[in-house]
Amino acid sequence: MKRVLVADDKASSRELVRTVLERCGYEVIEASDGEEAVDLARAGRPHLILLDLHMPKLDGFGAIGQLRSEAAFAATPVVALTASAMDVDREQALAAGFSGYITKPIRLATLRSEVERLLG
Amino acid sequence: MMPVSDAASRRHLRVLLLQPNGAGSNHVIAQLERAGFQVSADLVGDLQAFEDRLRDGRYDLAINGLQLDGVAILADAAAPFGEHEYRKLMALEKEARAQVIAERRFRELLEAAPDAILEIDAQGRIVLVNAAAERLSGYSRAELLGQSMEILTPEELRSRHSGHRAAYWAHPVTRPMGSGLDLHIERKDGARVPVEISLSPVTYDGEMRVTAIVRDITERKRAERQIREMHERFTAELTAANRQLEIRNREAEKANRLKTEFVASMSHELRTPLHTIIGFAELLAEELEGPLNEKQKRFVGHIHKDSLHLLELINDILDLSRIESGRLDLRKETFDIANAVEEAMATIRPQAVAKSLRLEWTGPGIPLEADRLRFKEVLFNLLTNAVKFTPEGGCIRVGAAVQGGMAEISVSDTGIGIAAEEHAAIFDKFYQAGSTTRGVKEGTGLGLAIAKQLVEAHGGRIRVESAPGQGSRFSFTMPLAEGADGAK
Repeated sequence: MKRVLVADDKASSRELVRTVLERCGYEVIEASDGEEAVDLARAGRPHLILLDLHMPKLDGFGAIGQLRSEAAFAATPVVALTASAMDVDREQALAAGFSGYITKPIRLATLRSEVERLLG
Repeated sequence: MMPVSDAASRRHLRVLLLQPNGAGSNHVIAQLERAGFQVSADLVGDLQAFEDRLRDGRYDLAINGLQLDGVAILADAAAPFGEHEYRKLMALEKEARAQVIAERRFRELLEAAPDAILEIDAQGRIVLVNAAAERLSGYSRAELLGQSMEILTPEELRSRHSGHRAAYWAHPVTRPMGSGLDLHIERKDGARVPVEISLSPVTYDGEMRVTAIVRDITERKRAERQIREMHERFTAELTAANRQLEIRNREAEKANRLKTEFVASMSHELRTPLHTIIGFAELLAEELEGPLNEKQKRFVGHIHKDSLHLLELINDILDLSRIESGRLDLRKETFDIANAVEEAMATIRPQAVAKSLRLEWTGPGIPLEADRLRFKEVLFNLLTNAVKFTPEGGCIRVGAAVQGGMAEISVSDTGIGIAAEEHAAIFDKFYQAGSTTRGVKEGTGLGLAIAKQLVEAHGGRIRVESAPGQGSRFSFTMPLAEGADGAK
C-alpha cells in the first residue's frame, strides 16, 4: 500500500484529504506543521508528500528545502497544496523543488488525478 | 501798392516796422541788410501808431509786424522802390518765411519727439534740449543749457564719463552708447532712470557737435522684469506641481500595492475555509459515507453551488486587482480569431445547450496580435452574460470584422436587453443590470469590468448596443496581427 504524508496546520483540511485518499486506497499519515512533516517523512518514508505552504514552525518552502537536501527524498514527489493563487507563488514553489502545485479549494477530481499521476 | 515816399536812396531804406509785444521781425531787417540795403528802422508797438506813421509818408518800406507763420507781412513799399527791388524783397520775404517755417517744423519735431534729445558741443556743454529732455531729467531748459553733459551722469560714473566722451570725439560715428550695458541717467531729484542712448555727430556752423537721443526704457525694463518674474513664477509653480504629482503618484502606487497585497491575502484567507466547505460538500454528495435523502442532497447541492459561486467571486476580485495594479502581463502572440472563438464557445456550449440556446459563429478568420488566453476570457465573459440573460430557445451569435485597423468581435443575443441609462454603468465593478427590479442574477458583477480592463490593456474598446426586449450586442476591438488590415 502506498503511503501519503499530508502536512497541513488545519485539522479539517487534513481530514478532507485523508478521507479522499484513503478511499482511493492509500495509507495516510498526518503532520500539523513543517517540522513534524520532515520528521514524519524521515520516519515514515512516504511515497508522496502533500505540503501546505503556510504552516507554523517551518513553512512549506522550509520543509521542501530540508527534504530535497536529503538524498532519501531527492526523487520523492512533493506537491504544494495551498490557498495562494498567485502566479508568483506557483513559480516560486516549482523553482523550490515541488513536483506539483494544487490550489485550494481543491476539487476532489483534481486531487485524485494529481495523486494518481504522481504515484501511478 | 501805394507810394510812401518820393525821395530815397537806392541803397538806403527807411523802414517802418509794427512790432506788437516787442516780437521781432528782425530777421527781415537782417535779410535786407544782407541783400545790400542800408536799413534805418522805426519800430512802433500798436497798429494805430503804425497807420498814423504810414500816412506821414516818410518810409520806403512798411512792414506789418503782425506775424503770419512767424514772418512779418510786408504791408507796403515806397515808389522809388522799383519793380526789381520789390521782387527782390518779395523773394527775400519768401525765403525768410520758408526758413522760419523750416525752423519751426524742426522745433515742433524736436519738441514732439518722445525721446529726450540733447546736443553737446566740443566742450561737453549742453547746447540744445527738447521738452522730453526736461521731462526725463527733471531739469528745466534753462538749467540744462550751458551745463556740462555730466550733470545727467550718475555720480559714480561722472569721472569716467568725460573720458568716454573724449574717446567718442576721436571716432565720432552714429552708434548706440555703452552697447550691452545698463545705462542710467540721474535726474535732478537723484532718481535713476534706465535709458538707451544713441549718439550721432553733427556739424553746426563748421563746429562739430554730438546729438544724444536718450530713450526712457523704464516701462520696457518693467515689462521685461515682469515677463522674467512671470516665467520664474511659472517655472517654480510647475516644478512644485510636478513634485506634488510625483508624491501623489508614489502614494497612489503605494496604495495600489497595499490594495493588491490586501486582496492577495484576503484571497488566501477566504480560500482556506472554502477549501474544506467545497471539499466536504463534494464528499457528502458522493454519498460514500451513507446515502442522503432528496432534501439532504438538495441542501448539500446548495452549499456546493454557493461555495463555488463564492470562489468565482474571489477569483474575479483577484483577477481584477491584478489587472488594475498593472501586474497583468499580456503574453501577446499571433493567432487566428476563429479557433479562439471556437474554444471559448466550446466552454460555454453545455450551459447554452441546457437552455436550448443556438450558439453561432459567423465571422471570417482574422489574425490577431493579442494575449490568446485573455482574449478568450473576454469572449467567455460576454458569452456567459449572453447565456444568462437570454431566455430559453434564443440565439447567440458571435461575429467578427475588420474595422478602422482593428478587429471587431461582437456577441449578439436575443436576450432581455439593457436600458440605455444602464449602458455605461454595466462596465462598473459589482454592477448588475436590472438588479433592482429583477433581483440579483447569479454572477459576480465583475465579468464586464474585467472584460473592459482586458480589452483596454490591449488598446481596444468595448461597447454595448441594446434596448429592453430587443437583445444586446456587445462588441470589442483587438489589435490585428501585422499585415492583416484587410479582412480575408
